[in-house]
Amino acid sequence: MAKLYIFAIGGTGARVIKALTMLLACGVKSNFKEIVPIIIDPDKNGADINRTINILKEYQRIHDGCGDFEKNDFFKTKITTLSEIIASGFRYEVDGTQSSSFKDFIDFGNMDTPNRYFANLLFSNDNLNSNLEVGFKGNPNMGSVVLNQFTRSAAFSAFANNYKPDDSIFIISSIFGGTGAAGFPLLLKNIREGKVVIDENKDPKYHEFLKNAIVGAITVQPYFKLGVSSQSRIDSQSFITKTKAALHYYSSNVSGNDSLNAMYYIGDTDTPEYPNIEGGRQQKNDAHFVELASALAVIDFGNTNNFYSTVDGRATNQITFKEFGIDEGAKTVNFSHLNQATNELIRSNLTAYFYFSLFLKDKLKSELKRPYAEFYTNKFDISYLSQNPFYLTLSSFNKSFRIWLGEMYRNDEHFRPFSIRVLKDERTNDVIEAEVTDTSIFSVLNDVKERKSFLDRTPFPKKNYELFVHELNKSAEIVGNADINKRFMGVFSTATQSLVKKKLFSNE
Amino acid sequence: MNDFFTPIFEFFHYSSPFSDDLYSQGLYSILGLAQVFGTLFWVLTFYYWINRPKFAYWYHWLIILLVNSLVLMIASMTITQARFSALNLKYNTGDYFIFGLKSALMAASFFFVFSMAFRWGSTNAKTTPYPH
Repeated sequence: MAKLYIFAIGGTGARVIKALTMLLACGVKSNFKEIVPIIIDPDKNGADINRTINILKEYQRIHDGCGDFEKNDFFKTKITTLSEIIASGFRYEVDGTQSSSFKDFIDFGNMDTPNRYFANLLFSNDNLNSNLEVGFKGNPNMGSVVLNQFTRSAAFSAFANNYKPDDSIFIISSIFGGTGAAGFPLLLKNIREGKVVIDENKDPKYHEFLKNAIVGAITVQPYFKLGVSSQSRIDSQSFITKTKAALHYYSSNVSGNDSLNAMYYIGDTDTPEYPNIEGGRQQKNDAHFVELASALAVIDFGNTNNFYSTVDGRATNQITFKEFGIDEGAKTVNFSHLNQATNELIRSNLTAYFYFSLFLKDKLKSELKRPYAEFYTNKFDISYLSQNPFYLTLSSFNKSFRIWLGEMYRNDEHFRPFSIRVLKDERTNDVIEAEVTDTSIFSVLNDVKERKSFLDRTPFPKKNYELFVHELNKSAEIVGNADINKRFMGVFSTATQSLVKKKLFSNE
Repeated sequence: MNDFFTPIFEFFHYSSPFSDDLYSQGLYSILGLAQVFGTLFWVLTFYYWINRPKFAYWYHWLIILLVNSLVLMIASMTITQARFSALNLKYNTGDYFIFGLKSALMAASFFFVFSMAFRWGSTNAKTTPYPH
């Protein structure tokens, strides 16, 4: 299958992309050859967005080093950018939002009197004076005006030019904020028109492939609330009301007019409370299980989009509505609460990568005098660990992976597949590391028991990290000599998958 | 077989008439086979049966080498003494002990050679006793 263009709108979109990146790193299969995330958010200093962009860049560097190696399952899916148009990376910078107020953006000062009155009718004084640098602060009426320019931008034009008939589109947005709620219907409408206007004085360009694209979307309903703050104009009490209003609009203009091929809904009633910060560097929310489940919608769309078709800008299949559910409602979710299909998709991969990350953090340095490390042409030695740019990027990515798990672990709706201890910065309260406290790595999975076999009753059973090293040595024999980074990933990918299969989930 | 093992044994140890009696009684073949198969047993045990990361350092290899040498030293002394006593050939304990020590040295050499030959196939000890 070809490319999947993912439009991630707003902070929620960026966090879902982060979860998706983590899943792809673990080896969850996307069914797409290439994924092109495009994050649309005016808040260029948003901590969550920048964290996601850093993770995406690290993923790319790691994928470039090992993604095409057939004996490695981690980082398999290629993630690319619309590099020719979004030079800075993955975020589309909305023109005119830098250091300007909404009033300036709509050129309020040069409007004639009737238009000013009309603008005053549509937008409050707060809206008009609002600084756009940090986003739309939960105001979709502002967002719809500002984001309308995306579809008239060089970025949208380049996207349309790049779009091929086999490609697909997925849109991630929240329904209860400002950016996502405004951006999603707008973007969808323009995709379905297949029309790109850059210069008002020239004829628009029509893109038939784009018009007939297979489009899926997830709209994230409220899953967190915000505290009360005199510094912020965002009121989370209005999230539900906004959601209802938006759903009503979607029922006729999004899902109701066959614009979409597949629509995913997700939300959570058991909502954690985050600090109320309008945007910028301080806006950094803990990762949440809902974001992970939303990322699974992208995977599901990849597995099912062969069944969809679009003719003349309208979905010809009956629009598919999907929701995410778990087998058992619980405040603390672990693998045993997820249904079989979800578990088959993520359980082994997530566990294998978690083991990989743990070994690199806690054991690798002391286990370098082993055959997997020193027997082969390209050796894993102390200089590889301290100087190789690929390894340093991988270490940094793995730390982000553990922090991501740590954040989901401590969030109000706990996702706790592993028994870990979360370390936080006392000053900022940010999660800085997650580590295991159990002595055996096979007992760190909550509600999953280690499988015993007859080999455990032999005179020399290999246990815990010794079995890990044994699997690494065995995997190194399978992988053989290869480029050092490919060999590294191949050995660890094969070994961790084998460990997980032998000791935890035999039939996956 | 006796002729095959004689130069090897006598490379490590030759003293007349002790060595001549060993040759004439055909003991070199028995002791040589014991050296080969005994050492092979310990090498295969270390590299393929035990074959575990926790027991794959050079000092573990050295322990097995010493055990093998000790076993073969005792075996060489015991077999030789039993045969010579039956034939009423008189040698003092020192002669047997020296022969035993040289046999142990020979066993250590066999152990090293077999280790170099068989370590490649081991999963966890292919770099033992020293890195590739």
